[in-house]
Amino acid sequence: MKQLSIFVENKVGSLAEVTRILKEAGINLRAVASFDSPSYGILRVIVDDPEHARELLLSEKHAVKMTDVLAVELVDKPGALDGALQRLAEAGISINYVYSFVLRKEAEPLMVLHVSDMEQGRRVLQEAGLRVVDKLDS
Amino acid sequence: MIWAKEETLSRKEIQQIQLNRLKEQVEWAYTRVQPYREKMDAVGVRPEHIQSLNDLKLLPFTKKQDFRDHYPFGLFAVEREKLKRIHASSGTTGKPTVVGYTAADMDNWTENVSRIAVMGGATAADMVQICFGYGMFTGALGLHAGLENIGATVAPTSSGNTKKQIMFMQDLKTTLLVATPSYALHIAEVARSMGIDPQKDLHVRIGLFGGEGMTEAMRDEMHRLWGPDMKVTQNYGMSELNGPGVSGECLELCGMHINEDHFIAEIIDPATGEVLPEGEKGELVITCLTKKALPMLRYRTMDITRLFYEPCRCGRTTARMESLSGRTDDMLIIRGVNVFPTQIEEVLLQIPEIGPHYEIIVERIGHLDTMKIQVELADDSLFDSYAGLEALEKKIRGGLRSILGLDAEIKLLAPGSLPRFEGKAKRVTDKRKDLGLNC
Repeated sequence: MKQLSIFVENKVGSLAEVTRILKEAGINLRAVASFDSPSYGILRVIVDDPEHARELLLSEKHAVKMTDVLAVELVDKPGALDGALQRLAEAGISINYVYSFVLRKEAEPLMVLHVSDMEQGRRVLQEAGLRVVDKLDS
Repeated sequence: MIWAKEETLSRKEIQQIQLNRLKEQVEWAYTRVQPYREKMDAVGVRPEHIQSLNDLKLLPFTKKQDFRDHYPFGLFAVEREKLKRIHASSGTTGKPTVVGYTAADMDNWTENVSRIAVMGGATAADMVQICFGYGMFTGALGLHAGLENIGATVAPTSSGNTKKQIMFMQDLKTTLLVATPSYALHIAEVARSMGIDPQKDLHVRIGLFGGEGMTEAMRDEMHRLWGPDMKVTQNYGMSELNGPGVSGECLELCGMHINEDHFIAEIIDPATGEVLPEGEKGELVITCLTKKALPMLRYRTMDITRLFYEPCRCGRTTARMESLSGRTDDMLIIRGVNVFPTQIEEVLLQIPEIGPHYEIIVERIGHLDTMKIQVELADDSLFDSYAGLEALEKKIRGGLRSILGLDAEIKLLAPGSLPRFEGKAKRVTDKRKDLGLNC
């Protein structure tokens, strides 16, 4: 699945500026995570139309990068995430970051993962019987 | 007290000494230093053309660039074996400025610093703590020798480790502090945070400050923290002119007395090089009258000031220079360290992950100078890597520290977010400018 990483300065309103641009274009945010240091932050988002969102943000002079992530469907019960993470650890794959989808109507939760070896990570998860989602159904 | 009789001569007597020494010095430089000879020949001036002090203006200027062109010993007039000491200061790019001293130069240097120390109130009874960094910079060892020479007791505590400085200050009952003004203020703040009142619990009664300019606002702050009775003076020098000891404030605080039997001061228009009339503000140009190892004829200091020649209430008759009011180049003094934006630029340009645009922001936070450098990421390759961005910050900081010896805060920005300039780029914002007037 495609994710957008937006490099933002750590100052008042910088995140709101990004969400404003997406809202005005009617682009829905499916998952969002932000990591910050005292001076800058990386906002990671999954949106309905990443290509369009990327162009919009670039046209407003934002620093955006599109990257691949794994979106894994989990059953909504204790230990589900643990199961997935254990498999990856056993396969020697390290996790760079993980975050979750905001809300999914009548569907299982989705976790977003970025791992050291994306191809192998996908295989390990699929072999464990987990569904890796590549496209959002709109 | 006045240390030397040369500080109270009549104008005529001072000028006679200056002329005699100037002739000798021009001859010395012309016959022994090829770059001086070439420059003088190029404008058709020979040593015998110097017949009055007014003829000084016939001589070409010497600039910091000359040190770079003739690095390290090309401007020296004596063989390396005749040198007693080498010092250095930061250059505009890459190589530092190397200076050296004969035994006689060292004696003159010490004498000049002694005069300035006594001017600022120092006596043989003082317990001195020198909080300048010891090393290639001239500040620490210059003050060190001058204060030992007047009979004071000197503790070379060097810079940094402020709590230990304060411990020594208490235990040794230090009476005289040598530091940059901003470090002196910082020491007082740290002392207070430790529950020590500098006015009541410490014994410091004299501050001899240098390495960076001191504004009147800083002097007021010094009195607030160290006590209204502290004798707070500043002095001036630079390694090309021996080091400290060119001039210093007496307790009348009406400008810095120049040691005129060793230095001739002129003020020029930095754009045209023309000598300006007395009292006008411009770039200070100094000719050294006694320096043998490294003669300096009409050295452009890049410092902006004004000269005045009336005798002072303190009894000295030497010319005085006003507190510096800026630089003609873009040199910054940060925590007493000379920093040229070009040095920073060199470091940044060697790091491929960042672009060529940058901005330097200098501020005084509390009493310490801080330098923040904003740079743009070159491309999107690191946008998604937090670890990569952190490693990049660390790499930039490390590169700057090894060149400048200073820590800087790094701020990474998205590509294209810094302003672009069509003419001369404005890369430096110095928020410290709070100049005060002296007299």
